[in-house]
This record gives sequence, structure tokens and C-alpha cells, in this order.
Amino acid sequence: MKKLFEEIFEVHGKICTQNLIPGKRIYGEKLVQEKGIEYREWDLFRSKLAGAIQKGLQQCPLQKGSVVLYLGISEGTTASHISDIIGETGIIFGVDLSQQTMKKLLTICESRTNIVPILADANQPEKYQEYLEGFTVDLVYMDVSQKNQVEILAKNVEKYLPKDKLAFLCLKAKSISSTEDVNKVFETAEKQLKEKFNILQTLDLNPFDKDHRFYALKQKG
Amino acid sequence: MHKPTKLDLLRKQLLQKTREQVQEHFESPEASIIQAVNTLQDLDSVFNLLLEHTRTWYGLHFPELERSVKSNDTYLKHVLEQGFRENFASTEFSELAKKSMGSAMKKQDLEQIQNLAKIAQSMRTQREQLIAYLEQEMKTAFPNFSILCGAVLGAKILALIGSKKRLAEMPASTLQLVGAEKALFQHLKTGSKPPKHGLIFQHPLIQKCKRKMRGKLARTLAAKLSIALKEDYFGNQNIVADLQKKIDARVAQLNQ
Repeated sequence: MKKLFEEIFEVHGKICTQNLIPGKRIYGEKLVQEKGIEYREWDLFRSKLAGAIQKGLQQCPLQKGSVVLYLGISEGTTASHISDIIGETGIIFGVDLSQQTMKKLLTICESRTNIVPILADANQPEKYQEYLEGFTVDLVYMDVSQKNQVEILAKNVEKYLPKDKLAFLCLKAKSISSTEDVNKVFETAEKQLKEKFNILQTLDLNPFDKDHRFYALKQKG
Repeated sequence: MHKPTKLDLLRKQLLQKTREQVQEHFESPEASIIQAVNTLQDLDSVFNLLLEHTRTWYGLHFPELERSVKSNDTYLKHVLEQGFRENFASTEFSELAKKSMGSAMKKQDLEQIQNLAKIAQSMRTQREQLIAYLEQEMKTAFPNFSILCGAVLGAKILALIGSKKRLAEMPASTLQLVGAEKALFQHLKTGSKPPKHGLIFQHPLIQKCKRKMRGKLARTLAAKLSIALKEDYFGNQNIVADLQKKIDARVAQLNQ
């Protein structure tokens, strides 16, 4: 067993997190026992954060007690692992627009008390301002598949993220333009990102996710 | 570190709120329509599969019947009522049965085939009930649109779009191509010919229309359906007759 990041391990060559609720699966992942502790295998193909770690992510600010603003939490596959990492003292604010996916997320929220669901549009960060009041966000994680992803991220980061903290962005080229050349889409998006952020690291998520890039970002200034 | 009590309260409050919002969304009458029409489409493909198996299996015993009976319902009826080839004496197929080149069949074999046929037959009834239900529900939810478009086709479009609100806010040109996304993006990407119609192609008027005119008619039809949808969502008047007249006029003009 190897420690990759805070609370993220490599067990038998697979990326794992320690199961917050032993015995329970979230999305049909494998459960592994190691020295009496139960770990959940992190599926590289279903979670972009896992894919990024496999591809050589250099820093991950998550630790026990972290506060995460998760935009586009979807059905909570990735979020469940973040929930493992940050433990009961941490908290994830999970924002998503779709009722359909929120329905599935709610069942996870029932058992995992560190995930708080917010049914709202990430495009309008002021809509969930009242809930985040009094919390200092440690990481903004974004995976929304919207055309104006970069803009949405900038809005949220400006409002909620302290200057010295990181933001993770999963950029899906196909949701920005389905017809333009993928590399060109990334080029424009990166130029846009550089106005507000310093790009610490860029990872191509191929083969785990096609036409996706993962960015570790820090605000300028 | 935050006080657990504050966090706990917040969590409970948001969990409750989100649950209510989600519940509200799924309480819409369209949700049931969408489920029904999706079931209907799957039911059809399952029925076809079952029927195919019934036909090939029973075909071992009486292959000639398979070729001479086109109607699925009649075929199933014969398999269930007559069964063995010898029992066809009183029907129009008595000659065929006598000369049949099919092999002999055990009682147990026929039993299995008949079980299969029974399921297929009951699916037909289920299908009719579903269609009747769809017609009823669509008429209530979309008094104008469902009449002009047809209940089942209308429900199919609704299922792809997801909600009445989104349908009503959709431009006619988009409505025209709902269901032809693949061809549309192919067109945008490679410059191939643009699609002229999506699901709307299944509309009987377009089916009957001359090939060359189908695109034109699809455009008109989509425009009128879009008006009907807007009336269904924002207003409450019955404008079917008016729109139908305009569509008919266009059909007449195109068929000249």
C-alpha cells in the first residue's frame, strides 16, 4: 500500500479511498480489505479526478476537514470518494441543475452526512450564497459540461474561493463546440483561463475520458 | 473548524429543500406520459423479438403457415387455437396443412410455443391499453398539439425533450429536427446535406407527401405544431381547427 495524497492510497496497484461507511458501495465499485480497513476502489473511467491522479496530478489539497464546492456534482460518483477523503468533519457543497441526477444523489446524501445537496444553476452563484456563508472553501471542483464553463468557474471562484486555494476544472471540448477542432477549443479555453488564473497543471484525460482536459488552477494576484 | 450543530442544521435544511424541489419536478403530469411512451417503444421491440421466435419455432412444424399469414395477430391466433397441423382441417389452410413439409412435433414442444404465443398476445393488449392511456393523457396535457401531431408521436417528441415548458419554448426549426441530432451535427461538422425532418417524419401527412415536398411540409408542420404547443402552455384556447386549415392549405399547395 502506498500513500498518493492525503487520504488517497494505492492498494494493490489501484487508487483507493478509505470507505467512510464500511460495507456500502455507491456505484458498484470494488471493496478491498487491507489490514482490517476497508477501501473503495476508485474507477478511473467513471471519475475524472481519479483519471487525473492516475495521469500524474501533482498536488491535491484535499484532507480531513476540507470544505469543497463541487459544481456539477451529478450522481455523486466522484463526490463519494471526496467524501471519503475529507471525512465526517469536512463538507461538500454539491451543486447541480438536474433533478434527475439530484434524485440519485439524494440517496447518497442520506448516508454520507458530509455531502450537502444544492439544486441550483452554477451560472448564478448568488443563488446559493446564503448556504455557504461562514464557510471557507478549500477547493472548487468543477465538472459541468456547459458551453460557458470557464466563465461559470471564474464567477464562482471570484465569489467563494480565497486567493491561495486551488480550483480543479474538467473541461469537455465537445460541450463547448461539437464541431470545431478539439485542440482549437482547448486553446481558446486556455487563453480565457489565463486571464484570471495561473494554470498549475494540465492533464489530458485520454484514455479514461476522450477529449477531456483536467486543469489545476490558482487565481492570479 | 465549524460547529457541528450549525452544519447539521444546514444540511438538514438543504436536504429537505432539495428533496421537495426534486419531488415537485417529478410530480408533473408529463413524467407519466414520458414513461408510458418509452415503455411503448420497448414493448414493440420485445413483441417483435418474441414473435420472431414464435414464428421460427412453430415454423419447424408448419412452415407453410408462416408464409401465407402476414398478420401477426392472426398467426398467433392460429398457433394458439389450432396448434397441431392436423387441427387445421376446418380452416382455409386445410390443404396446406395436409401437404405440409414440416416435421412432427411433440406435445411438450407445442406447449412451449403456445406459452410464448400467449405472452406475445397479451403484449398486444397491453400495447392497446398504453396507447389509449397516452391518447387520454396527451389530450388533457396538450389539447392542441396532441390532435395536430397525434398522441403517440407527440409523446415521443415530449420524451426526447423532457418537459412541456422546454417544448413550448422551443423554436419551430428545432422542433422540426428533434430526433435527427446525429444527422444535424454531421451536417455542421462535415458539411453533408442537412436533415429535413426528425421524429416529425413519422407524421402521417409527411408520410403521404411527395418525396420532394417533404422538407417543405415538415417546415410548415413544425411551425404550426410550435404554435399549438405555445397555446397549450401559455394559453387555453382551442386553435386546432384554425391550424389544421392552414396545414391542409399548404398540403394542397405542395401537391399541386
